[in-house]
Amino acid sequence: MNEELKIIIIIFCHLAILLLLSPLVNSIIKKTKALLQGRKGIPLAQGYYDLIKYFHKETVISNQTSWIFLITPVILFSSILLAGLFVPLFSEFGSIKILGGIIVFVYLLGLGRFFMSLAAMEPGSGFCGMASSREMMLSVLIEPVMLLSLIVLSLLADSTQIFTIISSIARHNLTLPSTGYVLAIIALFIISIAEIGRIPFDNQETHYELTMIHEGMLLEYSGKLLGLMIWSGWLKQLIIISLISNLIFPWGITNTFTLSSILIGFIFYILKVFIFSIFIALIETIIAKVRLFRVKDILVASFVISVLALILIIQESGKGSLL
Amino acid sequence: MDITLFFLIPIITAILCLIPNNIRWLAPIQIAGTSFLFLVVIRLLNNILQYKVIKAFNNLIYIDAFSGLLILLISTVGLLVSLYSAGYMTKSPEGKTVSTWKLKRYYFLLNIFILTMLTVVTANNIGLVWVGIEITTLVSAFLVGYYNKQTSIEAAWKYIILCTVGIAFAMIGIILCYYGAIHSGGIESLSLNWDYLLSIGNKFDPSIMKLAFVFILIGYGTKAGLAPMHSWLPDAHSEAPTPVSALLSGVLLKCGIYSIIRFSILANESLGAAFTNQMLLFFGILSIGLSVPFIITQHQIKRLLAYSSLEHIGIIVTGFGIGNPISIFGALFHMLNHAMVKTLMFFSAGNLALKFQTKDMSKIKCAVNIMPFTGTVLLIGGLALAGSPPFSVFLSEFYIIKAGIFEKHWVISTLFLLFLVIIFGALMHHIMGVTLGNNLNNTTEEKANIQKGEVSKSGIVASLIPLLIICLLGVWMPQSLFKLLNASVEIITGKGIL
Amino acid sequence: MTNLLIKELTPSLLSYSTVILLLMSILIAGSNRLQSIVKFYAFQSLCLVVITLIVGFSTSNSETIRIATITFIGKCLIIPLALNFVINKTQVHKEVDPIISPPTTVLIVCILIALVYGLTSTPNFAKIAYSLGLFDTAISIILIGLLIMISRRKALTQIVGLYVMENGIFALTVDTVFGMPFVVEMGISLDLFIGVLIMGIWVLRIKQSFDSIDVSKLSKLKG
Repeated sequence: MNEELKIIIIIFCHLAILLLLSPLVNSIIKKTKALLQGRKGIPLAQGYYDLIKYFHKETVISNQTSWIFLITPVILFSSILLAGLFVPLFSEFGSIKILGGIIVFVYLLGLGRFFMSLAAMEPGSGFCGMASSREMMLSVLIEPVMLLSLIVLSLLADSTQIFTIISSIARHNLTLPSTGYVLAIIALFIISIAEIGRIPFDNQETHYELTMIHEGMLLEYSGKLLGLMIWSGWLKQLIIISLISNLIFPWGITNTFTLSSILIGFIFYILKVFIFSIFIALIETIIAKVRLFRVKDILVASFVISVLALILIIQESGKGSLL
Repeated sequence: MDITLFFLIPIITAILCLIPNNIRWLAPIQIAGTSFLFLVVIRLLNNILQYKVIKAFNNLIYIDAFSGLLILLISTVGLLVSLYSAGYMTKSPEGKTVSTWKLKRYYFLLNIFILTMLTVVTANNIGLVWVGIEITTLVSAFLVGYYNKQTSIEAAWKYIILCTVGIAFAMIGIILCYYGAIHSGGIESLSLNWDYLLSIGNKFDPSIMKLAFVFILIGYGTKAGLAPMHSWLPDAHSEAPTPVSALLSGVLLKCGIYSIIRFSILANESLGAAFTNQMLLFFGILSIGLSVPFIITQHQIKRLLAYSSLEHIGIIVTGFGIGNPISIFGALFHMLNHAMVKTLMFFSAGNLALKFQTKDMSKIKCAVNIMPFTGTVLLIGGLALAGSPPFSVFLSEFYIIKAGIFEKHWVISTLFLLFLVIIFGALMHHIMGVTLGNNLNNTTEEKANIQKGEVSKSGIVASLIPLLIICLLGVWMPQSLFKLLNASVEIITGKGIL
Repeated sequence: MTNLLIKELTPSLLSYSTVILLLMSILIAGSNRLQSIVKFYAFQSLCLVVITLIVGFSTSNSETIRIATITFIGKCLIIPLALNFVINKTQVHKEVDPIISPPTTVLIVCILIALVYGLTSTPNFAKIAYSLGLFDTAISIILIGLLIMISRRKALTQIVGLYVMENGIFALTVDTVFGMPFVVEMGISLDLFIGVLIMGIWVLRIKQSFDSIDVSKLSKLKG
């Protein structure tokens, strides 16, 4: 089999996994939460049912809106899916290597967020506008920290490619990891929870107008467009979870193209994602949502942690003085 | 034996002061204790002059002439303060009765305070000197806040926080010094003992010693009340009970200077005297200069004296900074003179404040008429404090300025003289106003409350002794005192003035 | 085998403790609940104890181990207990309206740390910085302590700031000279314990006569 064909196959597998697994992961989180709270919860396939339902419904669009409102779900979905290709799931090949790694990754997510807030302001609904301004406030705080902590990791690996970072961490991870790495991971973890809009930053399950952020922006969407928006939210969640879990446990990622190694890698990947989803559900059950104005304190803390990580990494690697 | 006694006496006195239930017994116990201490100190000083250095307690204690001078100061001022407290502390400034328990605690803390200061000046280990200085802060904070008013609590809090932070910096200096010792003396006989450090003094890395000295100067300088770090000083001095103010100003500040100079002797071994002298001169002149505007505009008599302490600390440090044996002799002599004259001034000011029920100088007028003895003593003391000729303060300041001109420190000498002249004028203006100034305008009511006469007999004795000492030292110096000062100069510069 | 493991683990344990040391001081700077500040302080002291123990075992110096024990008793038990007692007695649990708000303080701390790390990697300081690599952390902690002291109004937070600073100095001694001589270290610890008790008493007195432990109210003495 020639090299290009291999890569194309892997990329298709990659996309398929992302698309198919993301509703399941969301349902797992919901189900775990329900079980932890002593409820029965939804069936695990509920995500798929929801999507099917949305895609069968009629789309109603406010006549106040322009083309941006229509195009946003598509842009969001495709940008997130593209970002997903940067993150290795179970193999070292397949993720896109040419497009400058972490920086493009962060800003692809940013692009989607930008269009989403723009579209939320289109129909002129008060709640949508409020949610979009909140989203912007958070993203101002989230993006730099995310970039900073990823830069720390890339300094550690001497590359901005996410898959290179992960494989180099896998190689050096046998003894206790360096402190800079641990701090960067902590910062990235906090920021990821904010990015996927989970408690303590945002609650996805309420539609309480005064607090919702992500849900608020979807209020005016319906039918197929709503389905696309919700699906891209789940996709983002899965991508971030895969990124973090692969950064923390970089084991099982194959670099050989054999069926067995890919199978092992895949099983490892599924396990990591499930464990992580359960962990997130656990956090959501234990911690209460904080007030919007307290959110910035937590984000500032993670910013400081990532700066500290940066300083330590520069010190440890002896790359010279900061000044 | 002497040394054991020397530390035991304050402890025993402190404990004895907690026992009696009757106020009358407290003062005699205290006076007896401090007099006994004074006698022991005199014997000890004799030994010092004979043997030069006394070591005791497994080399923990190291006493030479320089520490001897400080011990002399502490015990003398301690005795005077005990005498004065006997009359003063039984009356509270608001005219209320004083509770026995509070008074007992006062005497207890006073003794512990004296004990800690004695530890500071006799400890061999420079780390333990640090510990001692820190404990003096903690103990004396209770004495500063003795009256438990809002203002005194504020003064005590500032005092604790500022001095503790300052002293933390001194700790960094000591760490650096120890680091230098490890790297120059080897590990085998490692210690922070002063005599050991001095023996390897010339092997230290000069750059580290420089850094260490700066930290020490900033740290202990806070405790000594040197200029930019002095902000606790006027508050603490004005809010503390008068005997405590006298102790703070008379000896505690000198303990800070003592620690700085001790360290500078060590630093000079590797650095040469130029660097340390420059630093000392800078801080000294800055302290004198900074006290000038505050002395001119002051309204409160005890704050006036506190700022004058700042000035005199500046004079002493400048004296050390000039670095000539004569000026160092002058500085050491000035330590003694300032302790005496400031004790005297605080005692008189305290009497006045008690009599007039205020510390505001605009309300204290014509003291000579109302309290003839205290008023006169305050006037004479004021003249001495400002540095007029027949008194010993003039003499020591003259030594310093003479050495300054001799060493060709023209700018320093000019500034020194200029500041001293301004302060002379300002101080005399305030003191004249208080002692000889016109009667109050609204005399009829106010004067009715103020009875003529002195506050207490023991107060008279307590202020007579220092007055006699400064008059006497102005014209004649006992041979043994001269020997002590000369030996101290030898310790600091390596050669005496003769 | 165990020896090898210890040799492998020691450096990373040391660097973890160092980072937690720094993180705790950042948390103290960024928190306004007095009780959690005290907890962070206790945890920071625990890290110091761990570092001291590591140094003690690796240089097989029994004095250092004794120092670690005293430090543990004092800084992890006595001082936090005393501070907690004062908190309960004064019923002040929160630093309301500090001079510099906690997030801003944390940002300043961040800049401070970057500056210190940058400056200490210049060759002038390399002379002093010892092999443990704790030097820059220690200096940062001293500065953070000072910052806490000037940016907070409550008397109790100021005490904690002071003790954070002292922790920094302790870290400095461990780093540069592997701990002071035992006599001196005993004296310093004694000072600290007496210090916390006495300052606690003063905080209570401030509370009693000002009905608040807000230091900015102590502003009657001027000139």
